[in-house]
Order: sequence, then structure tokens, then C-alpha cells
Amino acid sequence: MHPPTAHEIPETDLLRRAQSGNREALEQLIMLHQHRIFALALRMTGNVADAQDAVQETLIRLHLSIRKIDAMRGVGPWLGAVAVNACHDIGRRRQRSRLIPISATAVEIPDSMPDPERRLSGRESEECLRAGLSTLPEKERTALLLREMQGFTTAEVARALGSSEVTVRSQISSARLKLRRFFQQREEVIS
Amino acid sequence: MNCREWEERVAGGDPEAAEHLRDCPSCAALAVGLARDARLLQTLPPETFAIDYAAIRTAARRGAVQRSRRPKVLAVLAVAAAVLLTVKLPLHRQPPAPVAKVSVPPPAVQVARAVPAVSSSIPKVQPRRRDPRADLDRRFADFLRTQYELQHPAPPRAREIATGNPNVTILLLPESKGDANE
Repeated sequence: MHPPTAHEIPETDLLRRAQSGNREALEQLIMLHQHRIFALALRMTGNVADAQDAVQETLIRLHLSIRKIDAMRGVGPWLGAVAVNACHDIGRRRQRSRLIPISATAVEIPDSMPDPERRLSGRESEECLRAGLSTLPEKERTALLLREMQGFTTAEVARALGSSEVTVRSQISSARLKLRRFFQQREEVIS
Repeated sequence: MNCREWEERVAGGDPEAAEHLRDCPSCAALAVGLARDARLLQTLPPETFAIDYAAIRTAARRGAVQRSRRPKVLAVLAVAAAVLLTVKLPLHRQPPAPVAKVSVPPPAVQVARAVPAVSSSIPKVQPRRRDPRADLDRRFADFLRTQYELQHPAPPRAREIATGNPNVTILLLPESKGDANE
């Protein structure tokens, strides 16, 4: 019989084991969430180096605060909120304007999108998405990413951002429309 | 409600917008586009990275050590501050000032005089530094005076009795053995 993999063990069990000092359980927890956290950080910061730093910072905080995580809420929301804070910290520390709206023209956008299916996958669509995200105000981008990527509820996003649910709902709605208009403009230019 | 207003409701995921979507091709196209964007956001980017667990553990350990040191440093600082306060406070504490026994002269009519304007060019007076020996002498003198006052308590103060006339107040003064000015 093979030992159970990370996907076979419920996350709450992994968290409890990690909280009691089991290093393997902690690493399995990280494996479960690392790609999503990296993706969130990448789309928050807009570049791989800063995203890696943010993930590193997030995982160090996970190590330090693993016992404080509420098992009922799960690791995902906690990690998402910490990753967002790490991205903001990195942005402030480096004093760059990665997290504030930058001109979409400054981001390299692929010129050709041969077929609709290709728009939904691959490096080009990712770069296009990041270009679109970079046009959004920071708060709208963060709210949208937490909602769509991390699957946060409106209340969870509001708690993570220290904002009200009404504000978050408005930010998400506005971000979706702005992103859609960005893609529409791109499609019109291409066609 | 126009399409612009519906757009916001569609983007906000309002279920009431579903009926409008059936009748409005423009808003329906928007809803399809929004769903596609959501899928794109949920798709993980192609970039990956390898996690260096050892580095994270080391950094976490270092962070834990720093965190555990912080309360100790704070405790040491707090103790040091408490010791300083305990040592320093009595130096600044003045004994109660002796009550001066002064006979009150009859009220004199004071003529208000214009205060001469002070030139702003006058430099500010710097506070003089205290001589520690003079401080010690003064404290010793204060101590002797306090001891003397404890052994020879001051006579009770005059009592004031108000009368019906607001301009007349009766003062009950204790008998004095010595000089009237004492």
C-alpha cells in the first residue's frame, strides 16, 4: 500500500498535523497552494521576480504563524490575504510603480491571437491578461484577483482588504467591466 | 433602465439581470465575455517556480528568533526605564513648600500701566545648568526644614466667615506670641 499523497489527505488534517509540528504535512500544504499563490502574486506584481519574493515571504509567514490559522476557515483564504500583503510590502519596499496603474502600452502585449481557443491558454494570453490587470486601480485589481483566483467570498475579500462588502462588490464589478473593455479594445485592434 | 446600468448589474452577478440578457444581445455578449475573462483569471499562468524549502525554513527560524528576542528586549528596556524612574524621581521631588506667614496689607489701588513692548531681538534665556553640589545642599536644607516643621507644627490658618454683606468678611486669627508680622 502506498502512503497517501497530499491530495488524498483532507486539508484540515494536513493543517492539524502541520500545527502540531509535522514538517511533511506543512510541505504538503504548501504544495497544495503554491501555484495558486504564485499566480496571484504574479498577477498582483506583474513580474516573476517580485512574485517569487512575495511567495517566499508568504511561506515564511506561514511557517511562523501556522498555529494561528483557523482550521475551519482553511489555509487558502489565510494564504491569499498574506500574499496580497506581501505583494504590497514588496511594492512599497522597492518603491517601484508595479502595483499602481501603469500604461498598458508599457506592457508587452502579443500582436497576434490566431484563434479564439488560443486566447484562453498559453503565455500570450497570460501576458495580455497581466497587461489588462495592470490598467486597473490597485484596490480593484486586488479585489478581483482574490475573488476570481482565490475563490474568496465578498465578505472574505472585504475582511482581507479591511473594506466594506458594498465597496468590494462595487470594486469587483468595476474591475470586471474595465478588464472586459480592455479585451474588447484589443480584439477590435486585432480584427 | 438602460444598457449602461444593466452592464454594472451583469458584472456584479445580479440574478435579476438574467431576464434582460435574454432580450438584449449586447448585454448577452458582455456576459459571455465576462465569463470568459473569469475563466482566464482562474487559469494558472504557465510560469512555474521551484520552492526552496530549506531556505524558507532557515528564514522562518531566523524570523522566529528575532520575534522571540523582541519581547526580551522590550522587557529589558521596560526594567531599565523603571529603574531610571525610581532613581531619578526623588531627585526632582521637592518637599512641600513652607507656608509663608505674611500679614496682608490693605488693598492698594493699582494703576494699570502699559507694558513696554519687548523687542523680539532679545535672545531667549537659556536655562542655567544646575550645580549638583548646590542641589545636594538645597535638598539637605529642605530636609532640615521639613524635620523642623514636623516637630514644630505651624499654627492653624485663619478662618474666614462670610457675612450677609459681600464686602465684609470676618477673619478669625489665632493668637500670636511673637512679632505681629510673624
